[in-house]
Amino acid sequence: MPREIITLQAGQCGNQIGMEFWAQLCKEHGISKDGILKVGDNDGNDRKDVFFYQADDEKYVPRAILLDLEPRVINNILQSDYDRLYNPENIYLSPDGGGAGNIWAVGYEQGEQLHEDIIEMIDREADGSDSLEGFMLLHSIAGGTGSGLGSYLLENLNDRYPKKLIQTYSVFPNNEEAVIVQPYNSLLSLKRLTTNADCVVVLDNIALNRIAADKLHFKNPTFAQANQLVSTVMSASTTTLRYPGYMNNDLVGLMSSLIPTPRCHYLMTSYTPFTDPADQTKSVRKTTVLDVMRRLLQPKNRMVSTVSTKKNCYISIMNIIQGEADPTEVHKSLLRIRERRLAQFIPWGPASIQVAISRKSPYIETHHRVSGLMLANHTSIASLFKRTIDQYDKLRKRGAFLDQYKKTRIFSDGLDEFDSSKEIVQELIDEYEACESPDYINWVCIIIISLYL
Amino acid sequence: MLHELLLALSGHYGEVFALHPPPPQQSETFKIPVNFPIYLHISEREALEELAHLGFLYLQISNFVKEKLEYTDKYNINAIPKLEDELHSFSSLGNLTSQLEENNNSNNNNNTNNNEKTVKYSLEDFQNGYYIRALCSGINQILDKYLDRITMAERKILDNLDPETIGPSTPISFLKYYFSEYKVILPYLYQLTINIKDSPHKYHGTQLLSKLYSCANNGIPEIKKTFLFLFKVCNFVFCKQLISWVIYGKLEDRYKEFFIKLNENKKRNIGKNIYLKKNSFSLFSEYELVDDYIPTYIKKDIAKTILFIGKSVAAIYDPRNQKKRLSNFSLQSQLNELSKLSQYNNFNNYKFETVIRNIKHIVSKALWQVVVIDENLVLYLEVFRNYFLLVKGDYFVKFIEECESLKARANIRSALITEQDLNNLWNRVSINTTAENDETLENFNFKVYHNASEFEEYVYRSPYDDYLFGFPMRLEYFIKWPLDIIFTQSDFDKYNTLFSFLMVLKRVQMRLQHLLTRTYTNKYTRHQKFEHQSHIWSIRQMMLFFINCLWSYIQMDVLWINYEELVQSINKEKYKVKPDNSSNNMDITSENEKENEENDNDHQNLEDIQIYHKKYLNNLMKGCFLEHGIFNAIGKCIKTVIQLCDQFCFVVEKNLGVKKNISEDTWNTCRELGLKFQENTFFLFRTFSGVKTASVSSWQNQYLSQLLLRMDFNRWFSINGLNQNGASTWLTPTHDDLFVDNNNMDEEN
Repeated sequence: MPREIITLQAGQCGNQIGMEFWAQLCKEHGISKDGILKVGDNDGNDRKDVFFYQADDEKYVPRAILLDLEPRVINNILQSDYDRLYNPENIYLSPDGGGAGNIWAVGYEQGEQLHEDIIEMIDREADGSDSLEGFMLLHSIAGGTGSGLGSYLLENLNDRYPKKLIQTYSVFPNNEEAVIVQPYNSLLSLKRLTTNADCVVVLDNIALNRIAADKLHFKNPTFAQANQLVSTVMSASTTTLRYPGYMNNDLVGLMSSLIPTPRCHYLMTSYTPFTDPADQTKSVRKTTVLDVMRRLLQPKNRMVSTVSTKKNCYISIMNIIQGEADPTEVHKSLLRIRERRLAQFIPWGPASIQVAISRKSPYIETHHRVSGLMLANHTSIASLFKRTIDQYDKLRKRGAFLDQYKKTRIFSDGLDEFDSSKEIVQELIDEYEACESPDYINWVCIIIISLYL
Repeated sequence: MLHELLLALSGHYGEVFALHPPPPQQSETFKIPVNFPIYLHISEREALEELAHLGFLYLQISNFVKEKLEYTDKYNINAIPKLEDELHSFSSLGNLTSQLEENNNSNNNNNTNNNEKTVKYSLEDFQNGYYIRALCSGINQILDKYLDRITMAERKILDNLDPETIGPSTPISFLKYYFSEYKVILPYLYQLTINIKDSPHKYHGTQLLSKLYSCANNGIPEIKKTFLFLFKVCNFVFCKQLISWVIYGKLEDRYKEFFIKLNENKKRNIGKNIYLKKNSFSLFSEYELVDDYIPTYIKKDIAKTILFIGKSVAAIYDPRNQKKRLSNFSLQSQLNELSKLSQYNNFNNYKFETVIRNIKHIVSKALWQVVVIDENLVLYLEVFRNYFLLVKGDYFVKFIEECESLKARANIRSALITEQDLNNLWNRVSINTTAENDETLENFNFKVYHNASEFEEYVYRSPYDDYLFGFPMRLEYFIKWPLDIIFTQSDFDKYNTLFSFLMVLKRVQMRLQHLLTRTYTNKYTRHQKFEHQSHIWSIRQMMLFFINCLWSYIQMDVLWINYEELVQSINKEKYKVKPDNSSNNMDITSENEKENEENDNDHQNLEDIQIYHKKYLNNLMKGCFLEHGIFNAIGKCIKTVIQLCDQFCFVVEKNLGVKKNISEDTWNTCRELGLKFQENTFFLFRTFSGVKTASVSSWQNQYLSQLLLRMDFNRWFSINGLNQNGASTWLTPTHDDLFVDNNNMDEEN
């Protein structure tokens, strides 16, 4: 019984990441660019059907739904080598093709209008799977389509599939973002991510660019290069699902150990070592389990740029180690990390670094013996939300750029939606801060009680 | 007078030499009655009586022998070598088994003819036996020579011209000299017969050999010679049994005299268990050593080796054997070596061991090829690891889920879950998992015991075997020839123990994971706030954390590491065979050295693999706290913890499955479960850290420190858990006050 996961790609950023992700998955499973399995290589130890299904002609088709309101990126995909991989029925382009104009509300409204078509696609995909585990949404929260349409999807998926999990890979905006209204968009999206998603993997353009520059020595990293990093992380975080072993063979297992309370479901990631896909031999170094695990804990390897304070701590950590790792090495590394106090944990409950050793794809030749991905629930993520709120407050004070929003139905009665979003994000920040204190559980208790009062 | 004496010497008492003390008392010797008419000087009397005593001893011994021989009178006397018969033809050895069978048959005939005797046999088991017969015939030969001597003496006495005697007036001193040898031997033999009579169970079978061997360690040359002779006679029987066992793999042991026996208990099990019978878990895994019967001069490890050889040979000659590689297998070359052993006058330990070792190498090599290379032993180990130890995660996730729904369905119909249900499930579940194309799945078979009494026959019952379904179940693997040499029934007992434990653990882990996120609860629990939400979540988190730690500790630190070790040690053995050819360029001297090394290492030893595998399983049992002693201390607590987690899941599922909120009652139950859970984990933590600091054997230390590291990574347990009361910021009664206050306020509002 594969625990199928349906991938929803929304907006420009979402589709670009998605493209790289599927290219990576195809490589790892030995599937060619038009969906045909390389003959004779199949060792039967991987599970392709989590992310792919087989068409009548044995071709592998991704369980992906591509959504966009403007044609540019999707047309790019259709002109690339992977044009024949996707199911054409699963590609949805808004008929007017005008896009959302970077306005969250427009994206959201368009979602409402296109509801029938989109839900039809999702239903068809869901019915085609044996035991659907959940959805994976790829989007950015700054623009219009990814954030607006994405938010709409989150709300609707929740209603329609209340028992399915929703994981998102959400790209957070740059400071010097081209989109001026991104604080509005981010705030509104954050509300949905907080209340409607089960798990949000936070990625951040600043950090992605920094890592691309530092690790891969690109002077001015392109989108594609940054997206390559994202796809690496995404594929690594799904290895335990695709190469099943003794641990975490489904999404729920992966998430439940990382997320102790329902609201604190924002995860950050680190990955090491990165290699330049064009020239793999350039940056090869010796890797050991300890080395990898140590590097994963370094802030500079995080794919989120947060502002850390001394009080910040890890709520939970999961390391996925790929390659020739030996459990004794893992044990030694854990010991060392604890001795050196390289990671600070919550004071209110037991926590540790969980390690899953996973197989490597047999189809990809890597030059590193060990590579590792860290999924971490860290309280410093709140600084990202704080930044969003600050930026939002600045804009809001001036009342800037609100006209576009007021035109849409959702804001026609007023700007309450902004206020409620801000409230929820502020609550989230408070919760993360409370996580740093020893009596967190009592704190939540009081909050709930005050709600009842 | 002289003839009277000779008669007495040959055991015939009369008026001159009478039994003394006279019957009905127990006679002790022959004596000339005090009222004997002819006057005898005291010295003469003494001398005569001394000689006559020999006659008494002879009488007793021969009576004993006669009794014994009559008792077991059907043995082919030819099988026992005569003293002169130095080169008893060994060609007959080939027919040995048939001969023995014949004997058995004749035995049976006798038994049927004489019902009284049958009863007697079964009652006095130790009275009978090949060894005792051999001994008797050996003694008989000595006695025959003694009788010959009497005849000689008579001839000499009658012969007037004999230079040594002076005809009829032969002096007693001559006779005394003439029988001096027997004066030494007969008392010892007599003592031996008395001992055997008194406690036949101590002189049964191979034990007799040990006794004879120790008796032969005597400084008096005559005695040494005699007992060596007797030893040799009995050893001959031993050699035949040994040959039958070692060369043909058959245990010819009608009277349970050999130091290897069939384990009756297990045999009975097989008889009753239809499934096992069908697949005929073959008998040779059920043979075992009988410690008391191992002759003292044979080392224990040699005895074990002999056991191993026999089992292996039986496996090779097994009719199920269809391996071409083994069709030419023969140990005939070793037969001569082995039979020569019986010809030495003394037992030659060195030669014995050499022969046994040689045979073992031949057998091991033959089987090694078949088991490790042809059958690919490592593959089997992996299969066992995948399924018995739940390494195929995706498969078991599905299997456990389906088991739950099977249980639910069975509850509705109030039907019993049958073996067939489980077996169907086992195979059906594999679709669309990594186990899909695994052919070995078919070799697994479930066995359930609805009736508890059926199960009690098994020696081993694991603590978790009935946790899953409420009745005991076992997962059997149909193991093909010749791998049953390596994997024994008790190994599968252990695999099953581990399997049931891991299934329970995995199930509770999954249940906790899904709680509040999927399937069992409604959508409110995920995205809406409800009362006591954070507490319910935090209890779940605590439980899940502990179970996750335990799971990854078991899978990584225990199963994985031990498995790697096992495979490595097997491969090490494997590569002993094939020294790499890259060393060709080495200079000659080193090459010679290498050759020597090769010869030394050229023992691909199946027995070792068996030992490694046993060790591996024992380590796993210890690591999972399932071994008996550890289970009582720690394992029981873990079981309680698992039960608490299960109850918690049940309560929450039941209440949140339908409602938006949980009631105060439910919350109280949950909190109670949470507190109990906390108490138990703290207890475990304290025990672990206590054990860790105390000096315990290294493995425990190693395992415990690994689990401790995972559990106490952020030192939360160290800070909170060492407190005896288990009080912490978490779930303390103070929360109650908080709630009460707020409730009051609520009312006020």
